[in-house]
Amino acid sequence: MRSEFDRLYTAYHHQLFQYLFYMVRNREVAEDLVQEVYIKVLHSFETFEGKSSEKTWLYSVAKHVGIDWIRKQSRKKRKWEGKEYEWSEREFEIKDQSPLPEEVLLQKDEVQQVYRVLKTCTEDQQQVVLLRYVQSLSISETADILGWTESKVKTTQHRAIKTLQKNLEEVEETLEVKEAKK
Amino acid sequence: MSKNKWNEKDIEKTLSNLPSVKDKQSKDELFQAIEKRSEEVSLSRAANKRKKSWLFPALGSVAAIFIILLVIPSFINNNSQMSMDEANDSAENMESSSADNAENKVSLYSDDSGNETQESSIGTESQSSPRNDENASSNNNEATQENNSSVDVRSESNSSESIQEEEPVQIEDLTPSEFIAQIIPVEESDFPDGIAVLHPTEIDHTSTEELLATSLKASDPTIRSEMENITEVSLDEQLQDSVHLNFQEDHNLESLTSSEHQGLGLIFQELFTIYGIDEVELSVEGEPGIMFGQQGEVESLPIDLFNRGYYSYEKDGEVYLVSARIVGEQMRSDSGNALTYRETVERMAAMPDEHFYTSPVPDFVEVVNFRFDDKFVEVIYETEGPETEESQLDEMSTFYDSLILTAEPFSLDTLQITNETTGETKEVDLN
Repeated sequence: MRSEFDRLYTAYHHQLFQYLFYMVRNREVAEDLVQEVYIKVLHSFETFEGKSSEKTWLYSVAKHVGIDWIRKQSRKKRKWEGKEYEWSEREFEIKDQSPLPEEVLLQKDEVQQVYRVLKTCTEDQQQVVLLRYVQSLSISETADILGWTESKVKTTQHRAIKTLQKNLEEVEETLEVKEAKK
Repeated sequence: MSKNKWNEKDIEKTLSNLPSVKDKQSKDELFQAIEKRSEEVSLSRAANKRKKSWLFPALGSVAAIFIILLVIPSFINNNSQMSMDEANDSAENMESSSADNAENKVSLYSDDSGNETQESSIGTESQSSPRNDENASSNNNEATQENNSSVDVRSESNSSESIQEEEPVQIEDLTPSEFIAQIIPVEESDFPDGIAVLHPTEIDHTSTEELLATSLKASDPTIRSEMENITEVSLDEQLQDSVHLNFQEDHNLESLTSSEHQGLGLIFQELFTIYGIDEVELSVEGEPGIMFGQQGEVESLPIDLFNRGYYSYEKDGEVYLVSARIVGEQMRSDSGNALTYRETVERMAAMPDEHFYTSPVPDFVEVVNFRFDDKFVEVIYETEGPETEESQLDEMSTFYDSLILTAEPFSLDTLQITNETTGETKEVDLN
């Protein structure tokens, strides 16, 4: 188990952790989830059929682990906030003022804004953005990980960028209005 | 920063340059943590197996079957019956599909709560079941009342002691997340038009969407296997309380017979209720709306989540569960309020053997008490002695399944089922 772990760690750890981090947007949670990914992978390595590459398989496991966590959080949030949350959700997310991670805080305003607005994309769009841009994976690899057609990856990617553009412009306009009022 | 800054290329460039984030755990720390967690999982599984060897030796072989019976019109007789073999094949195919399915465990049970409608009609739910927040509120109030009125017959010290001493055991094999739902039409003499059953199959590592897709295909009541024309099943990403079914262009749902149309509506109703899904959106090749039999063009179908309890039904030696609303069982108190969880289970336990369906509570089990604490409920029962015979174990499995399914519409996080005679405790995460 150790040797397998060493090999996987060397080959994929940084990318997997980064993928989980940007998915769940929390370092501690990402650290916890990456452990879960290794446990699942190491325990099911024997059953890996090789239908996809080892890399896309690992990403696929990480995707499921991350999405499971996100959905659990959504359900908890929903319970606490009641049905009203459903209607105000998008607004709530845009206004999310949770502290930025230190790595992002050190970046320029544009990066910080993109990081914030990324959360307004749909779950599918976020997945494509993370895999295509943050992880620099190919369309084929992304399709493999998400279980989609390449065509769907391209469409979702296009929509994601459009969504980001629209929401970034809205944020920009809001900031300009606030600035003008001052 | 000007508005023009955000052109697509800039956005793509910024995304590609998002800062690198590194894991602060060292490699060794990470490996140690993995080893520790693996060990905990193994111990938990071993403990679980030890418990099960006493109570559920046969459970691992897909013994835990909970089944919902539907009144399905005459399509049953029109060669639409799907064999168990086909259904199982379907499940097996899915299980062996791809590594992409790996490790995703999604609960069949939504934590949606209290979305009942005032009426509980049978057969027309999909056309007449808007959400009713007022009722939901009413239900929550009932849960609170139930909480307040609950009295534990055990002494206070004994109660807390047993909870602290006895670490709750996760009943993984009974957790619905590991079952795939299949509605399979079968014939039933009490229902001249036939019934359909929900047959969950043990399956690991799949998404809710895949569970639904396979369930729909396995449950397909149409002669031309219209569910095979579904190209995508997607859940509402955040709340998971609506499902979108996209069909390919050459579907024939517009040609459904009235019985197929009604049967499909009922299957949607029963299947999606289990998942806590209260709306089905339909589209063709991404375009909203579909010609849905005699109903004409529809974009969405509402699902009435209101149900109170499940009853046992036996056919050809197989024991299934049927929902209270399907068989027309009472789901409201005399005052018109929806039954609380306690009232529902008590009613299930007291069901006399005068119908074709019976109580899911075995004869050798007596439900003696309930304990509520916020979103936690404990069902406490006594038995005449250790259940060792296979038939008894099957009955216990049905009993557990009925309690879990019944808990779905209530605002609960955890269901604990305690055998006070033996001290055996099972816990189910309802989230």
